[in-house]
Amino acid sequence: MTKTILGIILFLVQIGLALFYNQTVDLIYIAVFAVLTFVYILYKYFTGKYKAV
Amino acid sequence: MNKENVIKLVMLLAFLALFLQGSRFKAEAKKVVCVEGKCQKPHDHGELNFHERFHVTQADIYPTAVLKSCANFWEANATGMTFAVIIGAAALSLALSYKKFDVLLQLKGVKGATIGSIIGMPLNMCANCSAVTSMSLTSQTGSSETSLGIIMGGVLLNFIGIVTMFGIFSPAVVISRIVFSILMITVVVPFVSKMVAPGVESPVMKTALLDQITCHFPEKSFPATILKSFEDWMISVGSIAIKLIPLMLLGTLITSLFRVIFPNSYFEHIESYSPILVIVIISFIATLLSVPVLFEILLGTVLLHLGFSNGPIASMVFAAPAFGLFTVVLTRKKLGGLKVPVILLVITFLFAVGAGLLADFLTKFF
Repeated sequence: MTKTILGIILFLVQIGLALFYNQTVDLIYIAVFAVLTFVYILYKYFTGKYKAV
Repeated sequence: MNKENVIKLVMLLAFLALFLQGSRFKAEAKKVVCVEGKCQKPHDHGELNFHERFHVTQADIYPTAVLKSCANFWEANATGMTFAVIIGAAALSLALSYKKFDVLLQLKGVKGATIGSIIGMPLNMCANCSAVTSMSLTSQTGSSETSLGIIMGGVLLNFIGIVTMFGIFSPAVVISRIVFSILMITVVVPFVSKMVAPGVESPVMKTALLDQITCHFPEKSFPATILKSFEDWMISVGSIAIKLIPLMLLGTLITSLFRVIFPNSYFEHIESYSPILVIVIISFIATLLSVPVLFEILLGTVLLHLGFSNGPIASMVFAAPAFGLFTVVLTRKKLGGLKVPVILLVITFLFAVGAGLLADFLTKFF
């Protein structure tokens, strides 16, 4: 799970860089969804919901 | 098809529609403006004959030139590659929970290559980005034919690119490119896929988290299912990104190392060589190059303005967007090592020479 979280952080950096180059609406929408979902995953991670994995 | 899969399919289509409408069509329109010479800032054009942040000059030492070129390539590919991960992860998440889609990805031979190219066609991406999508989508299961079909379909059957080329180049160039593209997908892809050792092609990455996506989720409520679908997508994104983003950086760096050795100014020196030799040299350079979508047309116009015949232009527009150094780095693991990607690279070179010769032959009919 730790690797996947690192991957998500890497992806968020990549989407941030893409937004720095081109501020397109589509990327902004997806970045918002991605951050919200990441927060939810982090919540599950720190509350031990992914313990079995 | 259960509720979860319907939501995942809608997500996949929505991401693709957002990408095409929000970024891709606009970016392609900007490139077409530059191709047609109507650009407001032609002095701003760099090595790719398009606007670049860092201009590579002759005064730059090799490492500086490579770094500048790498940054320019990364910027040119940034939106496409980000969406390649987004769309690839959405498709992977769907493939893991919807078995019928997964079965489609496992088709072999001409069928697999054709299905792959049909999936790749609407992506409107270059080989670099479609390779990221393809490797993401087929990272767990999926045949080599489908993987390569997605890459080739996205690149060579780009409808906007073909239409734009008809407006700029001779029909001989476009016909030659279409003929060799179809041959590449229907003959070469199934042929080289047979060389991949059985069992090697999947899974490219193993993570217990992805196995959880395949488990049936009890659909308690609609909002809970939506949340689960987004969670699955994000987990797929994370699993893919950790493997592919470092490879994407490496691929971009290798392409830049090569690009700085053969800049556009090199083409000026070879114009007076014999026609066949020119086609061979251009094919070699274009094969090792991995350019973002429609940049092959911009490079084709560079050759057109330098006075090259249709042959070298056809070689450039076929090989530059197709299988290149970047794609070799990305597909190496899926294709069981370097052997098959290198064979594909050699075939791309030979086909580029063929496309050039065919275009020169067809020129007399137009």
